[in-house]
Amino acid sequence: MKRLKKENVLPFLKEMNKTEKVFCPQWVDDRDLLFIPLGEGEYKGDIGKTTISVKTLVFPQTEDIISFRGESISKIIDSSKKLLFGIRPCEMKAIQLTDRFMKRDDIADPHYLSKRKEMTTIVIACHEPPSDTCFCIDAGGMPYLENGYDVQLFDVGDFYIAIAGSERGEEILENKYFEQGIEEDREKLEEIKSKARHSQNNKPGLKNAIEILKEEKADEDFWERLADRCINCGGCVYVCPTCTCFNVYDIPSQGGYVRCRSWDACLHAGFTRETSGHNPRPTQGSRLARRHEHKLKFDIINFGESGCVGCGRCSDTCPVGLGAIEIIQELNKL
Amino acid sequence: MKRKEDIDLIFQPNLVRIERILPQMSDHRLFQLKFVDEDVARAFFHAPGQFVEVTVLGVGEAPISISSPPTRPGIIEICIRKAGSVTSALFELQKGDFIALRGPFGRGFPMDILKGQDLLLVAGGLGMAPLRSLLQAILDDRASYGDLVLMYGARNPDDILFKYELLGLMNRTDIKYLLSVDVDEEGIWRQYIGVVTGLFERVELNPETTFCGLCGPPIMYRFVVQELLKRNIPTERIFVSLERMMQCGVGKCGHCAIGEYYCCTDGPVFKYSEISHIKEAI
Repeated sequence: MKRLKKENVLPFLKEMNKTEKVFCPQWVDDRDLLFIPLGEGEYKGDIGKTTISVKTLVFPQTEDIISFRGESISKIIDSSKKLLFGIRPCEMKAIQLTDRFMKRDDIADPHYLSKRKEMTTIVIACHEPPSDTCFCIDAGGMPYLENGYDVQLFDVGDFYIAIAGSERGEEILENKYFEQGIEEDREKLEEIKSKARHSQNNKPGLKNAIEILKEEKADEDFWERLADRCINCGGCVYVCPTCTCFNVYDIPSQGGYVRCRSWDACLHAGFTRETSGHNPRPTQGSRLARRHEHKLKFDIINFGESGCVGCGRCSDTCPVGLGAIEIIQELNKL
Repeated sequence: MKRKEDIDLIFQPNLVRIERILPQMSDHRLFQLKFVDEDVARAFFHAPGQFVEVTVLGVGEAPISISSPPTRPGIIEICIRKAGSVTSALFELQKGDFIALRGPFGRGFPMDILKGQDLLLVAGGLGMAPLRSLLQAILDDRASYGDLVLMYGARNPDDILFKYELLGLMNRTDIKYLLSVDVDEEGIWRQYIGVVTGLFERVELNPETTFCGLCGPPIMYRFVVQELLKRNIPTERIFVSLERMMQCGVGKCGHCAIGEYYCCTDGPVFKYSEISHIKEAI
């Protein structure tokens, strides 16, 4: 167990940035909090909750995957070293769920896994919810993690208590900016955890919503009624830390061309439309149902765990009040 | 099946040469393809019902079912209808031109289970393209299977895929081949006119021993499955090949999801019992 003084965070990150690319939540124009490369915005100490999740760094909005030049075809792999500082526990859990999906059926996605392999993760536990829409506890998680990270930091005011969760984490804690902790830190840590567990008031009732979907109480009318409001923007999908559907397309590039993949959204009508014109999900209600049943029903069948980590970003973003929180509340009325 | 060392090449296609282009009915062509790299060609082994992702260089990629059987390796046949950007671009190409393939992908028909059984294959329209792989695999190893019935429903007498090949089956005694057309405006059709389910009156199916393989438009499944259930065929012996927008082919892009399944990895061939509870499946 070590300590990292808050005044030492920036010097530490700047030093790390010499050998691997450092990303952390920074303010841009005092308006947007984004998980971007160190120096591209202003680091203000408080990491809050970024508008778009850290997903952008493991699964970018657009990435090149295959290069075509004449008759030569080769894959494009990003295996650069990255250090992510200030990941929230719910986002880290989302990455763990995505890891599992990307390795599903022994089919490993090389473009995703190469990025994950070279990634150092420094999580900052939430001593209090960064926003009113946070509901990780209701979603079956905790505002801190038990495992699956390299380093986890706990906010104690002037400094962070730092805990390693992997060999790489132990290595990071050897850095000169991490100081030896004292015996009382252990007690403090339990205090913070206990306080964190009791500071979240947003409880939409995800567990019960899962049961309601399992019992097939949400019929077509239920989804169509809600979907009347949906404006088909895909915002909830793009900000979601566990949504990873993508579209594949080819564009010209430097004398050849390149195959790219970009985020796609199951709420768009064209998402399932086939060349023949046939669309197996023809209504907005069927598409809205898909998005939420994927997380709260099918992920449980396939992985034994819900795909919603309770970060609340969809509810922050949706212009018509159809985020996971609102959907869960509506399901609980059934 | 994929070799272990190829796993991280799941998104990377390999070059194939167009060896031959055989015209089919209007707007349909059969392309015969061969991998340029011989190691890749040797490693390529598929089950009937599996599909490949076809790249037309500079245009894009589309999922296409394999029409040739695993019993005739070396040449891969795909039957294409000119429909979207990739297939339209494919129609511009000539013998000797290069395209690229990934695959084979998905779960095909379970040949181990079908061996020794009586089989009913029902195809509608372009659904004959994947079923032809199954049909030829059975015919190439005919002694290993029981009674064989093929029902094929086409729109009209001109729109029959693999026309000459299938007409050749009429004289065989080891397959009962029933052909229907929806309409016959010219009055030239000597066989059954009407929807494919009308053919069921002409066969006796033993519910104890019959396995079924279906491929066609969604509307066909609904009616054919009804007929089969009426004849007490168990739902776990009805295999349906489903169509979805299978972009990545490896269960990642999400477009082909059907309930808890991904059509490209859990399908495209499903037991009807696996998907009958999912409303959007058929």
